Amino acid sequence: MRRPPDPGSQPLLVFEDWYRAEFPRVRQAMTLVTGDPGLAEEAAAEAFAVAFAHWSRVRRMASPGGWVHTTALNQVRRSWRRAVLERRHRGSSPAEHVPPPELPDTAVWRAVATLSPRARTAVALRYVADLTEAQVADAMNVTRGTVATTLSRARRELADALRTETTGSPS
Amino acid sequence: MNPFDELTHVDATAPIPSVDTIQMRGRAIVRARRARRGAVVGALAVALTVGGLGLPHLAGNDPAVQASGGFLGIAPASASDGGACNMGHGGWVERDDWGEHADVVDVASLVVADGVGPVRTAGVHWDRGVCAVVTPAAVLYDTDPVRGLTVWRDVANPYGDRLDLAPQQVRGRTAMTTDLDDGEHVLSWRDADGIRWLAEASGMSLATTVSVLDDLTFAGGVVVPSSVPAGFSAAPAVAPTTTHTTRGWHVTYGSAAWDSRRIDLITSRVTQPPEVYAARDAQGVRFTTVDGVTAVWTTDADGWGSLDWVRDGVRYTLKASGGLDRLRGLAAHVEHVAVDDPRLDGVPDPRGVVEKGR
Repeated sequence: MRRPPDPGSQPLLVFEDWYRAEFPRVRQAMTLVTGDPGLAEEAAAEAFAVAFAHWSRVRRMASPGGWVHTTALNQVRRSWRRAVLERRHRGSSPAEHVPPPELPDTAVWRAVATLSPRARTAVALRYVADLTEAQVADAMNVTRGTVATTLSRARRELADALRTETTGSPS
Repeated sequence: MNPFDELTHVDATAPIPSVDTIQMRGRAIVRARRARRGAVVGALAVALTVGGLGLPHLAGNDPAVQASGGFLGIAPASASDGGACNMGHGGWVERDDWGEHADVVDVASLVVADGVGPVRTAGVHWDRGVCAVVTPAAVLYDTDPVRGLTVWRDVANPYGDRLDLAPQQVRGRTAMTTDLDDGEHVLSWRDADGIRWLAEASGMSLATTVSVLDDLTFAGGVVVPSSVPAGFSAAPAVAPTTTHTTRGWHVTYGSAAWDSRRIDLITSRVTQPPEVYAARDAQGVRFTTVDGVTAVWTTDADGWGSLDWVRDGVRYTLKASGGLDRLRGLAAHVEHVAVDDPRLDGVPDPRGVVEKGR
C-alpha cells in the first residue's frame, strides 16, 4: 500500500516524475467513481494541470497525492453539476486523447460498480487512491464517521455480491 | 483478506497524456488567473474557461490553499442528497448506429464555408446521468453586466454534512448559504410547505441575490414573469424531461493543434438554452446574437472563443480562434446534414485521434 510521503524527510517532488507515477491511479479512481473513462481522464488531466499551475505549493503539501485526487473529484462534481451535455458544449481546453485503460473485468470490479455513487466514491478514494479515511472525508465533504459507515456498508454489500457471484445465490 | 485489495492494483503501463500537454494546460490556468486578477470588476470581457478553480483543502496542507466549497449539486427531492446525481456514464456511438437515433439525425451539422478545411473528426458522444436534468423554476439574467440567478424547486439537500454554512433570511425563511469556488452564491431553504428550494447566483452580491429572490413570485412551479425585477430577463422555460441519456454531435476541422485552422462544432437537442449556463456562470460571458437569436460568447485568455446559440430546438456550439466576428461569420454557415453525408466518408471519430492540448 502506498503511503503519503513525509514532507519533512522527502526531497521535493519533481512534477514530471510525480505526474507519471500518480496519473494512472487518479484516472483509475475517477473511472471507478464515474464509470466513464473519458470523463475520468479529463478530470485527472485537469487536476494535474491545476497542480502544475500551483506546483510550488502543491509539492510542499503533506499529501500531494491526496490533494490531486480531491481536485479530480471536484472536477467530476463540477462536470456533472453543470449537466451532462454542458461539459461537452463548454469543455475547456481539449485534453490529449489517449486510449482509455482497460479496466479489469473481475468479480470485485463488477460488484463495486453496482454500489451507490457515494459508496463507490468512498471505495475509490480509500482503496484505489489509498487515501486515509480522514482524507476521504475531506474530499467528499462528509464526516469521518460517514466515511467509516459507508465503507463498512460497502464491504458488507460487496461480500454479499461476491458470494452471490460465486455460489449463484445470496447468503 | 479485504475484498477491496484487488482494487489497489493499477496498470502503470497504460498510456497517459504527455506531460507537455498537462503543463500547457497548467500554464493556461496561470494565464487565465493573471487575466482574472487584472480584470476590472464588472467588466466581464475576459473569459476564464479553464480558470477559477479553487484548490481543495486537505488537513495538513498549506492553509493558503482554500477549500473549494462543499456544494454537492442539484438533485430531485427524491434523491438521497444533492450529490446523488453527480455521476454518469458516457462513450462514443458507433457510426453504424448514428442513423438509429432521432436526436442525432436532427442535429447532424457541418460548417460549409470557404476556407474551412475538410472534416477532421466526427463523432456522436452519449452521456447517461444517474438522474434526469432537474428543470429550473426560474432563470434570470442580465446582459450588461452579465449576472444571473437560477432557482430550482423541490430538490434534495445540496450540502454535504461537513460544511461551514451561513444562515441567511430569504423569502421569510432561513436559508443556508455557501459560496462556490468561482464566486457564485448558493442558498437553500425550505418553504412553509416543507419543500426545499435552491438558488445559485453568479455575478452579483449575496445582498442583491436575496433582494431579487424576495421579489419573485412562483406559480405552478415556475416564476411569474411579472415578478422579475427590472434589469433582468427571464430565460425561456425549459420543459421538464425524464430522459437520462443525451447525445451530442461533434465535428472538428483543421489540425490537431489549436491553431487558426482549428474549428470545433458541437450540436445537440436543446436541454437547456445558453442563457441557463450564462446565468449560472457569468464570468467571462458576453451576450450577442446569431441571425437574430440570442447567443452567448465566451473567450479565454489565449483568444480562443466559444459561441453558443439555439435554433429550432438545436443547441449549437462553435469553438475557434479569431474573435467574435469570425465565430459569427462561421455560425452563418452551419448547415444541417444527413448522418451519412459523403463529406463524412472516411472521417475518423475522435477515439484514438491524437489531440494537442493548449
